[in-house]
Amino acid sequence: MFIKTFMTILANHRLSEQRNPLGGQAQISKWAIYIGYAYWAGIFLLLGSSLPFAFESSHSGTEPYHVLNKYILFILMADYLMRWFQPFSAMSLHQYLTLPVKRSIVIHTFLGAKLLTWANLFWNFFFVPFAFITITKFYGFTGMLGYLIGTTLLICMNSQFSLLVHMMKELKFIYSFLIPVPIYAICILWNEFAPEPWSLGHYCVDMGEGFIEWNLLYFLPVFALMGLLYWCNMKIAEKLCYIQPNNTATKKKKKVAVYTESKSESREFLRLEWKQLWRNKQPRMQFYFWLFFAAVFPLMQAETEGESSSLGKEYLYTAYGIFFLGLGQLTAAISYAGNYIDGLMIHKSYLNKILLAKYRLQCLFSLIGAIVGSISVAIIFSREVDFIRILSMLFFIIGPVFLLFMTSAIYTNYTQPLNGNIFSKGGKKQNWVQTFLILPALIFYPLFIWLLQLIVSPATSYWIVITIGLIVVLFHQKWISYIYERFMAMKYERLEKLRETNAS
Amino acid sequence: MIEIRNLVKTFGSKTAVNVSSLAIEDIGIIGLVGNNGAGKTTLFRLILDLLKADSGEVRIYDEDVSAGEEWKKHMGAFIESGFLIDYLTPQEYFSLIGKLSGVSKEDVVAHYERYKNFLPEESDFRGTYIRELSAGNKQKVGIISALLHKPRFILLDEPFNFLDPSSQLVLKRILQNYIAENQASIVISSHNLNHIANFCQRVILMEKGAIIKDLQNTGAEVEATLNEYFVSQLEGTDITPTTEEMTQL
Repeated sequence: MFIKTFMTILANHRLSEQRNPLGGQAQISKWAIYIGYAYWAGIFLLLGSSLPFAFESSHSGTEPYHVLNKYILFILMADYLMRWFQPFSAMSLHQYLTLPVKRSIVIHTFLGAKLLTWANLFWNFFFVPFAFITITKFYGFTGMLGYLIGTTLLICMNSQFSLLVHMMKELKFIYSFLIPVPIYAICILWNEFAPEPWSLGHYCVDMGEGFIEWNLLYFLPVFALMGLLYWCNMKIAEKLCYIQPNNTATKKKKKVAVYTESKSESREFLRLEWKQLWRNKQPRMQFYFWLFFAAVFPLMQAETEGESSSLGKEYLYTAYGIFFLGLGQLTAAISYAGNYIDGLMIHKSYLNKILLAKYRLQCLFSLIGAIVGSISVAIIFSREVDFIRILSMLFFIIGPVFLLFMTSAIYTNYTQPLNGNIFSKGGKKQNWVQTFLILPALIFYPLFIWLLQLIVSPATSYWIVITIGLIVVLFHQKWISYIYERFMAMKYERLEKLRETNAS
Repeated sequence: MIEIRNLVKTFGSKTAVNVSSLAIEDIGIIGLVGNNGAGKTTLFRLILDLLKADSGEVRIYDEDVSAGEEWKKHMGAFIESGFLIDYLTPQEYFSLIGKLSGVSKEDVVAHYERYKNFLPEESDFRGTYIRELSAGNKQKVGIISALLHKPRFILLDEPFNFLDPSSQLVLKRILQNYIAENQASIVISSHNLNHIANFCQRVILMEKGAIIKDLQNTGAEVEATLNEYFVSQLEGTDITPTTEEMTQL
């Protein structure tokens, strides 16, 4: 019965992916994902086959697999971080609760599906070549197999840990993201500072040896820990059964809304966009996500290229910061409106006004990004801030680059859920036009500056860029109206797609 | 006036709407009734230019709805809760619609005060996002917001859905008063023959996308005609009503 139910539910998961309303778009996204997987598989293969030699030269006298095993904790941390960005949804739990299926079977199927997934074997792209090069020469293929089984079990155990944190988040435990911090911190301290032979690293070396020799005494603790985590996940899943999925109800009543009259229509829409950003999970999380990059990028240590560098990496990072802030919101300009598009369309020109408001709000955020970038250049890199350079980046991005982002709105044919998880299935979506517009947009600014500086001085190139950007910004009403008109020319087709992909 | 001429809409091989001619200009409530899949909601969407017709046209005050947007000033509608911007509170939503329809702040407040007893209670109206309201309260917010800018024509798709019996009675009164004050035409669709027969001045019966009957509701004959029609749809099935059930109906 359990196996039959398990297989039935798994088959339904596959069916839901096949019947994605995005249709062909989903196919293109799928291929993009496959290419991504292939890329990372290649990276892992490269690392797995080159690290043995790197360890041999850096840790002569110690076998490479001992070196790896000593620091296997960091592989588990990297694995955890990768899983953090993977989509997670408890919907597959809730969907079956009203069916005549035992709750325990539904829970075991839910947890089992997370455990027995091909993703848990992905690290073998690294471990297989590594083990082949380092272990087979002493222990043969049997030893290699034992080691691979052991490391896979560690990854499966890590997957349960990651699942535990995700489920705690679903339970609205706001500090869930901090759970791994003390655990990994303790492990690191235990690994680095505990005296031999009591350090974690020493145990991990012995554990690796135990895997190779098929010593059950080293497999059992891994099974035990996995069992404990599975049991915890089971208990949490039982609680999750009572939580409404995507529950957007707030716990407290908000303060009474004060009726304030805005002086103009454009300000009214600006306020609407502001509310959309902060009152809905997905746009808010997206904003934080890109704000993180916008803040971190300028802080990244740049390789010093010297003052003669026309690009100056520290400024480039500021540009990317400004760029990313716009990327998150403007490419989904109409997608969010898809949640209530019919209600918008029965009023005249609402969509045009929403596009204008979105653009203006993003320009404001970009200005903040430029200020943050300037401060970070002054403080972190201790350089005199070249304001003209910063202004040129700002105007180029809020001008031609944002124009490019918003042009992709013409081709919007999906609704972005307002309260989904940006990493969940059905979360952040993007059509092929946006993908192909965004990728070159990343290099527009440095490329354009470089080309200009072949002809004119750096200072002149910045002023030219500022002028171009300023012209685009000043005429933003015109080009946004044009985008609106182009969208309306295809409105029936777009409206149908927006409705189809509206999950709410 | 709303004029529909040779309007056809198909989805694949299925004809959702096939209306050769329909005019709506009468002051009052027009009921649109039909079985599930008859094409009522599709017809509303075509009138509101939310769907592209395969052929034919809809004109409001002689303006083709697909060619311009001036007609939107004369139209109010609430089809489903997806129309609402659900991250706003009802008060904010009223305020937004009022602002954008050129309704003054005082008039918006007066509008709320007038329908206060019908709308969600005060704390929900001012302090709760629309998405957190029950289906019935969302329905109320949507319907009352459609009346805000006092349009000449209003389309309401199954407005009595999700409403408790008291609210249904209040809504009927609200719509009747609105018509009397604003000389408007309100088209409502419903599955409840009782609502349609006792409330609407004109009844349009749709089946498989076409208008089967267009009746002026002058007496009890309309309800009987509708009942007879729907019972006839069951003939030959296992659920044909017995003579006793027919008498009760």
